[in-house]
Amino acid sequence: MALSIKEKLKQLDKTISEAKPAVAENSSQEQRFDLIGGKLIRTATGQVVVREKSFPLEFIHGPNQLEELLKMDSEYFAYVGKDTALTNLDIRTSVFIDTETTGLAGGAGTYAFLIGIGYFTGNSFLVKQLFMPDYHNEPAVLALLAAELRTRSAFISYNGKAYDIPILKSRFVLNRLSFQDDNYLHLDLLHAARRLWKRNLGECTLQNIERHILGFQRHDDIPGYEIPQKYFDYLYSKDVSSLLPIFKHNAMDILSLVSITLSAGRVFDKCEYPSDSTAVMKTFSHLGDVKRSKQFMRNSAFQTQEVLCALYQARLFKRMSLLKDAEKQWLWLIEQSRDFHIEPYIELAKLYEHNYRNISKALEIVNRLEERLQIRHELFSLNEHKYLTNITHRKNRLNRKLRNQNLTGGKEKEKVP
Amino acid sequence: MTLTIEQIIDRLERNRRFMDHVTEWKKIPAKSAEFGQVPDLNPKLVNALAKHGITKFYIHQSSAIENILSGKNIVVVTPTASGKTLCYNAPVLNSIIETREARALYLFPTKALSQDQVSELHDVIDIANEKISFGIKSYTFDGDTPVSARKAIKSSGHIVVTNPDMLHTGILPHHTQWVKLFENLRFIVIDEIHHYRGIFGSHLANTIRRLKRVCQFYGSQPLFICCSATIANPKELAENLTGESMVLVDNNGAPHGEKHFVLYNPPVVNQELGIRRSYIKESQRIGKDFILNNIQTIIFARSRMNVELLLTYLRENMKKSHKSPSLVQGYRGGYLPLERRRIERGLRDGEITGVVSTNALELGIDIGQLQVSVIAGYPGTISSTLQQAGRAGRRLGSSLSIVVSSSSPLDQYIANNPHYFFEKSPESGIIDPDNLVILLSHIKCAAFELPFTSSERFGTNWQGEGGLDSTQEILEYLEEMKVIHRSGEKWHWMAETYPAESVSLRSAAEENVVIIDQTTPNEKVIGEIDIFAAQLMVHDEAIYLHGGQQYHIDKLDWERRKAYAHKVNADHYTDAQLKTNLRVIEVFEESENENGSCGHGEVVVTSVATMYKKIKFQTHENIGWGKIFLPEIELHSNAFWYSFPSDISSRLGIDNQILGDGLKGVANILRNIVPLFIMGDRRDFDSLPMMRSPYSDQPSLYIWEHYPGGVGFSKKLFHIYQDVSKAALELIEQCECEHGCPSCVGPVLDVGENGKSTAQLLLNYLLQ
Repeated sequence: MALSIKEKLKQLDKTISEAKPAVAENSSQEQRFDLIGGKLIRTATGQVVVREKSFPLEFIHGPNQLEELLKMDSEYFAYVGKDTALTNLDIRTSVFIDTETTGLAGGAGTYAFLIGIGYFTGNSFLVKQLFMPDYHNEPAVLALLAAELRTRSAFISYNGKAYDIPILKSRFVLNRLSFQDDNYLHLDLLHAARRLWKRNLGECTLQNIERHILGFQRHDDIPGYEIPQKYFDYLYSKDVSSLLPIFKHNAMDILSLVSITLSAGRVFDKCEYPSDSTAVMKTFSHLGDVKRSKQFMRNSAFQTQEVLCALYQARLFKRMSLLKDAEKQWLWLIEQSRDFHIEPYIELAKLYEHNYRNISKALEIVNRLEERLQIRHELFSLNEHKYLTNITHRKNRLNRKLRNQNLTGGKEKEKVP
Repeated sequence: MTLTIEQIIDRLERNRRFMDHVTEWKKIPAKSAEFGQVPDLNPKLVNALAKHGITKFYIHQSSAIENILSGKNIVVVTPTASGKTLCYNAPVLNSIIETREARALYLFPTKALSQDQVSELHDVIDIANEKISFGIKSYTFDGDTPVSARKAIKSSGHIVVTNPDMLHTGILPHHTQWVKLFENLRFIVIDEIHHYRGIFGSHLANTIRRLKRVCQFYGSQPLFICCSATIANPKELAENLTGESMVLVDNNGAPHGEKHFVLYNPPVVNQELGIRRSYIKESQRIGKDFILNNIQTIIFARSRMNVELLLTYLRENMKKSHKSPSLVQGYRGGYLPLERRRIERGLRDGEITGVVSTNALELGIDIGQLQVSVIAGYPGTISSTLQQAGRAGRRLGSSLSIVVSSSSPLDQYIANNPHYFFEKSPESGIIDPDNLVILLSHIKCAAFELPFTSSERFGTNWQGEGGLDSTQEILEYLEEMKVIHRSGEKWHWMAETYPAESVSLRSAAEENVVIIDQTTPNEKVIGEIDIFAAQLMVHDEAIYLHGGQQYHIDKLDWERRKAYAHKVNADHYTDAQLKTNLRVIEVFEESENENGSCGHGEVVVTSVATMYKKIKFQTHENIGWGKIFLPEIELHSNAFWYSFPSDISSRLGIDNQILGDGLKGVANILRNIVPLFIMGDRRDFDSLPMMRSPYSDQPSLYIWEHYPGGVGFSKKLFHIYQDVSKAALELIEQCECEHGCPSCVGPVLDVGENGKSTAQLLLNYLLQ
């Protein structure tokens, strides 16, 4: 009494949970994509459903009007992305991109069944959603996407660098199509969000940023983790209306991408809680933008972060060889009593010893540091402890030099600053 | 004054007390090198090799390389230290030098071996790179590879060195990131293929089917280069693993000095119970003698615990003789490359004289060549023994290997039948890639990697021939289970999960019990075993051995599949008894004659652990027992059986009670002797005697496989059961006990006074 393969498998395989009841297939009926605002396009390699929604430029999402992004100077993209290359980002040829996939695992078996792109046209913002009505239509969806991307130059995404784009690349490889993105710039807002808002908001999911930065609350939004199963269910039920929440969710994501870009850019003009001013200062420092850093220090309401920002700015000045500015900043840092940092003392000592050749001034700074440290004795952190040897060496060397100076009977030429 | 090795060998041979217990002392004369023609390699490579010290090629190297250059898949079978790595490195490097884009994939069973190989490769590559315009790059790609390095390896690594698990979960499911590798893959090198047997081998064979499938997608047709230790069926195993036809290369041309191979069986100290002097202490005695005379020695022990024991004893010996205890070092799997280099250097410089190791050092890692190898306890297979013995032996001068037998039945049998080491190996590597459970897991993984077409057969060769008939049926089943979806002409993966993650290459039952160490407040998971083994090994009150450490199982939470344990130092181990019932469902093959009948097929085994015995270490005394309360498990697997005629009792002139004892005795001994013929574990199969089998109504013996669906042992046994029975009979006849003992048919308490003699009668009957 031999069992068929299937019966044997049922006995042996305990990992697959009970088979779900088969739902009626409506494969012969024409599916009504128009009911959700979509259009079925037939191409040589398969069918694609395209759903378009056009938003006027004055459209407001959260606190922002979409068209303001068109007016934002391109240097702000460099700030938001902390990357000088992004000054070349042209918002008019950029594409905002967000995909819905069959799973978070990645790998060759994860499909992007809905690819949402958004871009500015002459007088509107267009959200275009490409949907794969069944797996065998994938080549058509990708071909359409490739055609759209051919005229574009940059991506703006949320975690696209690690997730969406690699998955799309993978899909192209599997369908033997080429994904031409070598010259594309990419602004990934997840990294920007983490830089600017993680300190004060904690988690930087798109929804969290939407809620706290854009002040925008979604209603009846489908949770992300339900999306893959909804697609699988649709493949059997062919119930187009069940897909509407996914399309809506995806479209909302894209609008938020635009709005978040704006809000992020604004932080570099005016930084308020929950944005992190040290992140802003670090960005200016990294990009070498002295002018902006000065402006920022003048205009910002710092609350607790002024000292740290000043420290980063001083580093910037030093890197750009603006020694007078650096000296001023370090002097301010050692005078203020809010936060103690060793760095300004050491940097001033080095400045006076090596650049200005003013040994006594250098020694004065080192002595002040030692005093401060002794006062803070109980509060020594491990790092500060390490400095003690450094300081002693420095002091000894300076004392030696001073002695030599006095012996040779004359001051060494002071370097004119 | 220290002795040379020749002097020690001489002294040993004249030592009566030692020689009385030597069952075999084989002298293998020195052999000079046999060279073959220099193969047709690119002159730049020949040049680089020459600079590296290689100007001539042994005949097996020439043979191997020439076969590969003419487009054949090969399996190379040569002993340790015979230059087998050149057999694959040469053609691979050759290919890369001639075609810059060429790629190769190397598979090693362990990370340590992979890392060693890459170091060795680098030496040659550095020289080769001087002559060519681009740099040849080889990298390991495994769990330790830093994320920052992975991108470079994927796009520009010429030789990617990895292990089966990484290939299975890290590379194949992400093959779109490895386009350069797969498009240009010329060679797949699989080392130590004898390692891939049973479950592991069956899984690997399927992983290779997936690998070939991916290669086909990218248009490459790599050649396979396999390496194996000496087993009975290297060509067959290689062909089963890869699905390709193989050329066997086994004409070893490497030279060696005079070798002495000694089998030592410690004397019996208790005749009735069949107990012998401790093989650990004997090994220590023997080893210490060499080490104190500055002779570089390696001692192989079978468990980490024994390694620690021997290390402790030997270091005490050193101290007593006013020598530094650091002369003797330990070695375990998991040692970092830095530590291995340190030991290797120490051996070369003479700072280390003795090394005590588990079989971790058996696999090819380069530690140089030593002079003596002491093997404490038969390692379980002939091939392992030969590999461990192979660690001793230099080009010039003599070397010595000594195998010290323990009292376990197989050890005893080997001690008395050493011819197995010197004639053709009896042991086969058996796999069954079409085991349904294993196949199902890999078809899921394959569907994730590339959609199946509606006419596709899993496991076809390059020409698209062959392959599994049942592929489409399996796909239909998976569709019913809603994990794949038929769309157009293809079957696509349709689930959020990542199938490879939940497939372990070393087990077939996907239900595991997790073992948790509660010795400290920080609970730690120390391991996982499948539910069948769990009933035997981690029932309440069991003593469980893991990584050389004993644990007491405080509670087995069967429902939640968790076993809670804490560390102990017990003087006994536990041995659980299974109450087993077996039902034949389908017969695959049968044969009958006037003496009896035998066959193999599919069975349902219901088993439950009912009680356990507490057995004292060393003496094997039974010091207690306990009951086990666990639910029954049902297992669908394969079995081999032999049925005696219903009137066998009268034919042999015995009564039924005694027949029962005899059957039990035969079942016990078969369980112990089968591994000599089919390489495997105690956990791979079991034996069951039945007075009246429900299938045939006759007194029968069943040997059933532990893994759902079986891995091919039953089928193999059907063909070789007579050889196995002959060996079993020899073991009984050679055993010095009167009525039975643990070293042959089992203790008298188990098989009764007539167990041994009746077992002999039955086996004689079977063989007539």
